[in-house]
Amino acid sequence: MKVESYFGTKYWFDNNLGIVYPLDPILEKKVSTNPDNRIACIDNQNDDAFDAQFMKKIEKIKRSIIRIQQKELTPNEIKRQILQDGLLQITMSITEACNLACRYCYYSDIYTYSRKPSTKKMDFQTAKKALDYYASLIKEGERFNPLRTPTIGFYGGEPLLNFDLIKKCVSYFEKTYPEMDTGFTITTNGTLLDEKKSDYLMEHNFSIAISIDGPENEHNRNRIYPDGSGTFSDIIKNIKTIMDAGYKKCHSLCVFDWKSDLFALQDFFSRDDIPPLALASMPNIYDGCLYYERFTQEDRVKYRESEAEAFKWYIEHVRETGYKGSFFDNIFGLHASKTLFSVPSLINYQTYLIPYTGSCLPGRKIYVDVGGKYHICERVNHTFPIGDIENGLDFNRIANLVYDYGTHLDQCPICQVQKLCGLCYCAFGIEGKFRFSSEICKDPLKNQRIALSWAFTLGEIDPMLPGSISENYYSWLAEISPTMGD
Amino acid sequence: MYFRLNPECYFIQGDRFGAIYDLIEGEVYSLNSDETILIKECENNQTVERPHPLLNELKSRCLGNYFENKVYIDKLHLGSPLQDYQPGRRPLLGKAFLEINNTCNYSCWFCGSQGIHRSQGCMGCNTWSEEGTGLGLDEWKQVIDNLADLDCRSLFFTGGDLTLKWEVTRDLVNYASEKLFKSFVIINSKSCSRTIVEDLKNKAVPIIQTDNVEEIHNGDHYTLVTDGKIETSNKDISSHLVAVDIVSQDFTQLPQDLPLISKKKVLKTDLFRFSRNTKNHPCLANSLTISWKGEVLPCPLLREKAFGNVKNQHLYEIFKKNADDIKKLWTMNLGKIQKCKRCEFRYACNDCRALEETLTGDFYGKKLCRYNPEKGIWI
Repeated sequence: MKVESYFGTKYWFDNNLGIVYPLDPILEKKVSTNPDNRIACIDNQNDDAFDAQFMKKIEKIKRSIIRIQQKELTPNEIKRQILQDGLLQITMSITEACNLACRYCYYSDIYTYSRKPSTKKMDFQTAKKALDYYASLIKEGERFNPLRTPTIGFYGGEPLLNFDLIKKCVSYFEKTYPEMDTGFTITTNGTLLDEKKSDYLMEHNFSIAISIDGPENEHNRNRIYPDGSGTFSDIIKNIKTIMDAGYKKCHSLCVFDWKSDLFALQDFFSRDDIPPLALASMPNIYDGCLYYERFTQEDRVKYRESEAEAFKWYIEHVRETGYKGSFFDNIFGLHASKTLFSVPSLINYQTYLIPYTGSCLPGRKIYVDVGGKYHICERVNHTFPIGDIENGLDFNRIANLVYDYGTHLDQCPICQVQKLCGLCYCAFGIEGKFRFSSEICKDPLKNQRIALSWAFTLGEIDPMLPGSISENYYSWLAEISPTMGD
Repeated sequence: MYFRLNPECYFIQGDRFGAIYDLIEGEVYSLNSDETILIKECENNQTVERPHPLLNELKSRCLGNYFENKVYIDKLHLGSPLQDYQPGRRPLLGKAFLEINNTCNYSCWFCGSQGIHRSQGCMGCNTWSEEGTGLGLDEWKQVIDNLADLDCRSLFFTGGDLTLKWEVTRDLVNYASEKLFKSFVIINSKSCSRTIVEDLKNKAVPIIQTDNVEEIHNGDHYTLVTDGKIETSNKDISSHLVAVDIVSQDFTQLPQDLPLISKKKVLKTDLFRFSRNTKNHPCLANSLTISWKGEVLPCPLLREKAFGNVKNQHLYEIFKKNADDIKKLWTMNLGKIQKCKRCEFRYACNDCRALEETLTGDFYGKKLCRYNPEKGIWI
């Protein structure tokens, strides 16, 4: 795939090798006229001496590729694989209730296939069974992976609506499994995070993720109470306890959309009194998402213009400021760097089990719903259960699920950006069935081309920048959250 | 005009001088101080005047190219760099030495028990003046089980003389073979026989240790020649899988061009070696040793650095308890060794920490190198 940087320099992304290099006019011509559009097929007979030699080197690189054999695993092998590399976190959906009615909520009518809001709460017996099972797997898996430590995540709905259960779970796990160096995380909307709760979470060294979408007018546009009033002022009041304490393991999660004022977000997330930004993303477009129906074509065009203006500003300043974790660092620098460096160079497949897309092996994390069913993760709809608290993980079901998923990746083998793909089950799954990649991926090159273009532009400004952005970000994530870097 | 090295060419800087590592052709090119400054500027996307003799030369060797505009060069790497940041990664244990006995009836002049230092001390047999009781057969099998669970792929069986209780050695090799390990068995040539080689066939590769150059033969085995006179012998070893083990009391009287200390130390590079060496120690990384009495060591020669004993704990428990110390040793790339961090060839070089510590008294010391990184000369 040919990619052009902001400054007009052209590059070639070779999907087979997972490598990139700049194109001189001769190479570019050859690439453009090659029917397969693959650099490895370029005829080097008429190139100048450098290009001819370079092509020979590329041929040698091809011989260095590590070829992972695709393999279908038995349930026992799946179990071993999970004991080895999985179990990073158990995410406890301790309530389906929420005191907010955010306009883009995944658990609302906006998403056709997701579960809908309810008042259901998890009880302690359910939580205890899930935690005991998780601990048993961690113990069983210690011989395969002695470096893994358990992480328990509290999720909802709004998990602070069931704060007593959080306290019971933490107390139970710490007393029952004192030998485990357990990490705790919580994802909250911040409206119920009073001083007492904040103190409790800090005492127990929680990694605290708070959803904040920017300054008041930006945040209140989407993050609202059921009566339509904004939540911003309550959250800002609440986070003061944590920010004043200088607590480092608290961070912001921001959702933005085509109506967001990007420069306002940049200013807001550069403030010292706001938790540093860990992730900024747009509402997920999959799962039968209806959210984007509210936007006009004009909104979309305006957003693209605003994004271009923001990127221009960013590249004019990033060399001086370096990576600071700002909003622009997140949506431009980090997105570009992650896209570029997630490429598995010189390896033929992502993994031997799931060769395409960015899907993990179910069991990498475990998501348990209020009723005690296990699911792949909080982002995948509930029609793909992988076990329950009475019977544990169903490795047979996981094996079938992985196999079934693989059979739906029909377009992936010929995709030119196959190695850049970060899609996973949540993009493919509807009501217990997977859609084919040919149905999902309408224009896979477009977004990847933009991300790579940003990456190359940053690299032209400072060759170290793309690498240092990832390094700084993931090093910081490792300090503030045990599993978020996954 | 700009000039950039190709994706497969890395510029590594020492104190004053630099080197270009071509990861595809394997060459390591030395640069003088002016060239070092120039290439550093080029790699930082600073402008250059064209034509420049050095840059023309680099282009003719297909190491880099001129560009009209600034370009980003995504340097060649193996896999995704983001993998290094993935939480909960299990340890990548590539190989383990199993010292399954400490008994020998010979008294070879080069034996570690004689206080002699060898450049390949880990690969040959040794006996140690240590108190204790050896592990039993079942305990060794449990160690192998633990290693299999940790996804360790290569085992080096060493001793002592492993032929003294050959049935035990054979049993363990067979056991490892069932667990899909690639195994090597270190045997003194005096004890080696056709029967022994036949027993190991399809199960393990013998590494035969000898001090006699004439004993080198072709075959499905490696040979470790312990004397260092191989270069002066008439024996053609080009078709043999041979490693030379230099033996010396203090390594002060070595021939100047010996690969152990001379320019020949700088090895050919490649993507795998370079990736490994920039992150890890070239020898200690991804390796553990279980001594004859069950101690878990970083390598067969670092006897004082035991992490624990498999008689008291499972190997994975020892790993867990000592994770930070093990990681520190494994990731001790040569950029962390005082002398080496000033050297531009540090990622194309080998290093034996055990031997260097013995010779210098400092775990971070360096004696076996004649390169002066300040002057850029081999003395």
